[in-house]
Amino acid sequence: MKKIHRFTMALALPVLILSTTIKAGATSAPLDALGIMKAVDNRKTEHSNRADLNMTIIDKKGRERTRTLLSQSIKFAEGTKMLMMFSAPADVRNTGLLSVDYDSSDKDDDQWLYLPSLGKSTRIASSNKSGAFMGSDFSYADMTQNDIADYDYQILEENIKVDGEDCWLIESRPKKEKLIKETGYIKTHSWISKNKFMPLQVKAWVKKGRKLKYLKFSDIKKHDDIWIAHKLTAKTVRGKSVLSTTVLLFDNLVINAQDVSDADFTQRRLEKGI
Amino acid sequence: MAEDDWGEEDDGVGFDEVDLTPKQNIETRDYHASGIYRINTGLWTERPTKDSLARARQAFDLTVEKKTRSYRLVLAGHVEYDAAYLYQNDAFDQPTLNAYEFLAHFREAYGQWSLGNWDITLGRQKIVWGEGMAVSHLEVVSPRDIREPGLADLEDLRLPTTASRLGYFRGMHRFEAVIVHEPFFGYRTPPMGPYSPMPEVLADLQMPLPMGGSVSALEALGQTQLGYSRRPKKWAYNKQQFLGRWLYNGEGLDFGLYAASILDRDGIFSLNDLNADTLVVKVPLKHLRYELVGVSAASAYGSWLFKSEVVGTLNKAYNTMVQSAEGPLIEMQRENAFNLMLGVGYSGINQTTIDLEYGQSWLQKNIDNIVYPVDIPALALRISRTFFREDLRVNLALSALGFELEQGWLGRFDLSYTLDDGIKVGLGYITYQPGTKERSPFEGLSTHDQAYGTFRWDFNL
Repeated sequence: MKKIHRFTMALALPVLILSTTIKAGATSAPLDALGIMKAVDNRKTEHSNRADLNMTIIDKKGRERTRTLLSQSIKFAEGTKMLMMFSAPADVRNTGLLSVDYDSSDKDDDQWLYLPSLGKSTRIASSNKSGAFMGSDFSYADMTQNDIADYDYQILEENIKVDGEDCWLIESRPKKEKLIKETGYIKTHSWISKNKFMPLQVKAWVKKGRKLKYLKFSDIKKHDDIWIAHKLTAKTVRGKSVLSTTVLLFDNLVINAQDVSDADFTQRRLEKGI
Repeated sequence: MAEDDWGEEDDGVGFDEVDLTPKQNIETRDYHASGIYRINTGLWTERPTKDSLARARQAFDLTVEKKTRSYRLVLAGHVEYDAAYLYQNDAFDQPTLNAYEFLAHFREAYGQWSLGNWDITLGRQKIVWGEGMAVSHLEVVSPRDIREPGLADLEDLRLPTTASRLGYFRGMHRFEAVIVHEPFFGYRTPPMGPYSPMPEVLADLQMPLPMGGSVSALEALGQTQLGYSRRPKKWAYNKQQFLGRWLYNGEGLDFGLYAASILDRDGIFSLNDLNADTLVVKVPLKHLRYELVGVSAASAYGSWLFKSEVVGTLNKAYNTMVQSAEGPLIEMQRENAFNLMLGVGYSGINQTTIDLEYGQSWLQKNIDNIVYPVDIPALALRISRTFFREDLRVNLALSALGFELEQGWLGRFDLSYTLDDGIKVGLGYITYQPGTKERSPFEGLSTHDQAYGTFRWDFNL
């Protein structure tokens, strides 16, 4: 069964820029909630991409932490390969993660971590997916893919505007309790642009601590006929209080770069660092 | 109340835009310089107050790197000074001061060139093999800094060595050939150093006196100082070490085959061939050649990671010791051995990783009177958890020899807190328990428990 990205297929850090395009003709007939989500999933996407990411984490007291990293991904017959290498802060420089994300939910993803202080790359197992990624407001679950059939979808609003754009508001609920345990999310609301067929914002209910996670896609630009958000803002909120915020900025984005090939997704490349 | 009966109110606070100018950007220079400044202080908790300062070390590392798509040049240096040895300096012998008070050396200093599927790396480099993190029979290339067992930072534990490395990469396969040129076997505590079992071994050895009776070897030493004399100590054509491996990093499985002809990193010692100079009696530590073949594998299932190493060592030398009428007779005997490492890791608990490794060796034929038995099970457990968005990291590490801990164990608990990007402070405690058996590797470490504090600043220049 084909997998989709959680948070209405758009939050995955390494692959989120793969997930923001509209398939031609997708709006030719009225769509139900599942049809909309399939249309978002069944979009034209690029073969590969590369970007510099700047991730700033702001805690409740306003203290900022910044991480910069190089991210690149490429599709292959069975899924997506992704490589991330940290540039800053200095203590994580050249730390890298190589992952092979299989479309099939029957296969475990392959992941290798390179720590410069250790001097070798080692295979790692999947982390608890509800855990925070690098201390950010993104979880590992946000970065992995999930099966579209594992969720029930419902249109909550047929016509709603986000930043002046017409959207559908769609609720997604996991069909199985196991998925809630894995991801930490009870349900999500996604505001899907009718024009771009991409989510403009997402709200997720986090079971632990009865928190909310908000995600905003902004600075959306078109690259090779593909809409891409260059800024992602994630906030973790309890009541009226923002517990933390993560802002992810994309820079030097290259789509289908000639110099991104399979050879860039190997231990050899991982160990060479930034 | 419904399970999701919250958060239906105004979403303004969640979807408000955040204006932000990034403090840092990905650097585009092809050269880079970075450094680490560290302070490590420690107190012996089982010793009188006046002798309680274990460490007051400052260390500085600097790395300069130039890199393009086809080549990479790296030059790194390390210098450290331990002010703990300023106090009662006369109480330490010269080999101990040489090992702990001041150290300055090059770290990595190599050039690496990439030509198609080939990589060639020449110079001082860190080469780390095997799947085991704490217990590994395949991690035989890079020497180690084991002056302070269980306490070394990850950066310091594995040391670079001068080598030539040729790698060929094809898809998921890696073929690698290494020649280690330098007879460098790392740092260890000197014979009478703070972490050496030698004083207790010598205390148990009885030396006959000419007029009858005996004294312990330790008493017989008197004011004589002991140091190690590593052999070989100089580069020689016939002392090169040759290693090769094939690695497969594929779908669901990492697999490796290894073969090597290497010099024993630990070395065997001899008291029969002492090399005395005017100040220090040098105990020869001979690093003799042996051969190694092995396989490794690693595979992940969900949040579980399974690792293994199966290694055969051929003609490796082991120390033996017998009491004779003339005193202790230290010799050596060669034997083949079968070595196993099994490891399991679990990362299914939020922000937590748990790793357990087990290793054991079996000699093909038993060696009578072996000084340090090799067929002792080794167990290593490490639990690590982060809190507060990974600002606080808590580690618990246990290393034990023997299923009933009869050969001793060490336990280390530490926590580090990130004050700001690249700046960490930490506190920890390490305990050494020698066990109930004689000649355990932890022998002599009965008053070595230490409470310690750390400061670390990583910076880019």
